[in-house]
Amino acid sequence: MIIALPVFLPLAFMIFAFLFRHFHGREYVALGAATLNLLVAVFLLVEVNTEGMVKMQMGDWPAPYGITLIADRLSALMVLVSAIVFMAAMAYSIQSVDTRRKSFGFYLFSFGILMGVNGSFLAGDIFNLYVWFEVMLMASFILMSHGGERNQLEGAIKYLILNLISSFFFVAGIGLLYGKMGTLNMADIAQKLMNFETMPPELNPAFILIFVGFAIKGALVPFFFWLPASYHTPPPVVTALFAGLLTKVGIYSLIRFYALFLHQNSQFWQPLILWIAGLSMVIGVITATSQFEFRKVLSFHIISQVGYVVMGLGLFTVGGLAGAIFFLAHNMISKTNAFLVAGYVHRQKGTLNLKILGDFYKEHPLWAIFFFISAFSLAGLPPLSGFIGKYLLIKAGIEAQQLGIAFTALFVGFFTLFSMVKIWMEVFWKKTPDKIPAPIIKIALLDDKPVNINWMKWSSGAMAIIIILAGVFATPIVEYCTLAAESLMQPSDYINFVLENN
Amino acid sequence: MRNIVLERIVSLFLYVMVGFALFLLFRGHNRPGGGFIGGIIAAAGFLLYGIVFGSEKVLEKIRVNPRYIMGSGLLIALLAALIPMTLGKPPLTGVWTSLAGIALGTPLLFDIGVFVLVVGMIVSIFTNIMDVLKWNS
Amino acid sequence: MELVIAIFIGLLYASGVYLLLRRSIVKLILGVFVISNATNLIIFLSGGITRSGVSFIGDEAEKATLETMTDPLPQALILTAIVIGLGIAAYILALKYKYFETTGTHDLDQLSKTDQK
Repeated sequence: MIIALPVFLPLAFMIFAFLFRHFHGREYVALGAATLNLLVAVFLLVEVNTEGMVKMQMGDWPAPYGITLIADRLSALMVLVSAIVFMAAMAYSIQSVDTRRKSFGFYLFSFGILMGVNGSFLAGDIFNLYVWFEVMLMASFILMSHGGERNQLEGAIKYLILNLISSFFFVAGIGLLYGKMGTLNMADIAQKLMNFETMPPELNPAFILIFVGFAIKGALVPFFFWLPASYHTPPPVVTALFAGLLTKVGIYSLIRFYALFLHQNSQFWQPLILWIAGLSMVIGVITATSQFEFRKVLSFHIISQVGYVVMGLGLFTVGGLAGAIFFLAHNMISKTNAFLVAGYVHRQKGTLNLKILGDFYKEHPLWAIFFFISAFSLAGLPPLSGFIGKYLLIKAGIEAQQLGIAFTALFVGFFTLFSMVKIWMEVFWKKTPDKIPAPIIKIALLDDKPVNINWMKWSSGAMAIIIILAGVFATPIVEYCTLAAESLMQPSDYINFVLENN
Repeated sequence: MRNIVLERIVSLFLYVMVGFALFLLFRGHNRPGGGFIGGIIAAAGFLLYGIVFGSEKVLEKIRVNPRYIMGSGLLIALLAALIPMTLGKPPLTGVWTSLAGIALGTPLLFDIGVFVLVVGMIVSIFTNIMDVLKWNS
Repeated sequence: MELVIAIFIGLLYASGVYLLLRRSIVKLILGVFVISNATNLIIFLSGGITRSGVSFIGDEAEKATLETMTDPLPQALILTAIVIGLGIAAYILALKYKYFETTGTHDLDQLSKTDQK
């Protein structure tokens, strides 16, 4: 029963927010709902960890016909991490979002994103996955343009058109796949594919269309252009939420599809995915070095870090997948926290141009430490969580005899460190320059309503603590990720579990 | 420019459309029809009314703010999902009772929710567009 | 019949892509709508086209066999896709309007303020 709650709980809150738009204290209700969602996610994770998998047939229709919600270890972990990210964003938004945006449904659409993300992680049916994608995208379109400033509208148009096109790729792929296989249930399709000796060639167009759809959503290399063009325009907390959740859903779906379907044609897909992973890492990190806007640097790094996850997927060994899952979870948290700090910098200084900023360590040492932790976790310094993720991935790459990709990953790590050090030096360490070279652009109006608790500091600090803990006490998490990877490598368990009728 | 014949016909036609929409809604479970189609047809009736009389008259006719219509539609549909959960069944399972020989169940509740939601959504979309275009003047 | 619809889908995609590549935002949006409908038709075609009655309803249900039955699932999928398309169409037109109000231009080349100089 608990597996349905991550979907219905946000919906219930959305109805509340819709009907009581001007309710005072909606921030706290939203935070309460986010906490409840976190509790649900923890219970789901515990249940999945003891039982292996949990499923539910919507409307009590048996498996290949009805809509399945299924949680295995990977999806339970993703639901938990996105619940953490979401809760931090909700706490942060209490102070950092202006009243006009709040009363125009900021919380409504944030919970729309949460509902879509949770639904995508739990969907066991391709078309259902598409519908959850659309729920998530609709909410994110609105949050992207929410507030209606000029930059936001421009970013929203780019984001909207490219993401819509990716949805069309995905739906067209679903249509072709359904025409060939006659079913939409993922487990059923995987089982029917297993009956073939090799992948039937007429299925390739469908899978290539679906892959392109996921690659646009996940911002992989030839398809990433929408991300850096739009992610720096909305209010900081929205960017943090997007960076933590949206691209990761595309990558999660890619992992799920690869493990169930694509690996049966691995001599075609594996080199392709490894090349895309390597190019994503290198191009993302190199373009990031040429940027001089705080959030743009971080946006380009999303592309390179998505490349790491896809590298683990492309290796398709237990070690590689475990590393990919760990890295995905780590990246959601570290990235969100880096954007949260960027939001605070913007709030204090009114700009995010690296050339203008400076002296932030002297003025706000605590925030500098938060940034230090998340940025150097992204760069992969021990004992932070990013080090464990990169270590697992590179080790798996060497063990799988894929030395090229392993050394690319190592090499990209240095460049990431370079970018992070650049932000650190420019924003936190150097003196504020006397001559201001560019005009300050206000992105979001902020109202300084006095609040008793400094929610921004608490949420960012909690995320920083999670990053340290995930690095220091990594052993149980890595064990969990290894179990998740093993069950991904054995799709027959998943198939049997979905298709057996109680 | 006012057109008396058009105005009389449209204001009668609204009731025909809504009545037909309700007919389709209740027919929906076993035969073609259902909440979405019914909602679209009812909303089309209001749209026609709005084209002739302007958006303010539509809102007067409905009396309730469309956003509350949409919200209550979602709420009804959510109830249809949650009622089976309280009985220990998966969400959205059809739970049936019978009242004076008529079978009533959560699928009907869900359809009603969809109907209300669609009417609210389309009315809200087109009244907003009409306000932006200054259709009333 | 399948072939005709398939060619038609191809034409729709071609004109959609042509519209997407124009400079005006309005044409871009029209291109998105055309591609969205072409995609819906792909799903429609995936169920196969048969000349027959409805599959599950009333007295026809007994007479229906696998050969004469139309697959109802793609139609349900298209309905979902059309509803999503409706919501997106409403949103995208509002966004376009708001953008035009703020900037006074339809030209996609003016959309470069957020790019790197």
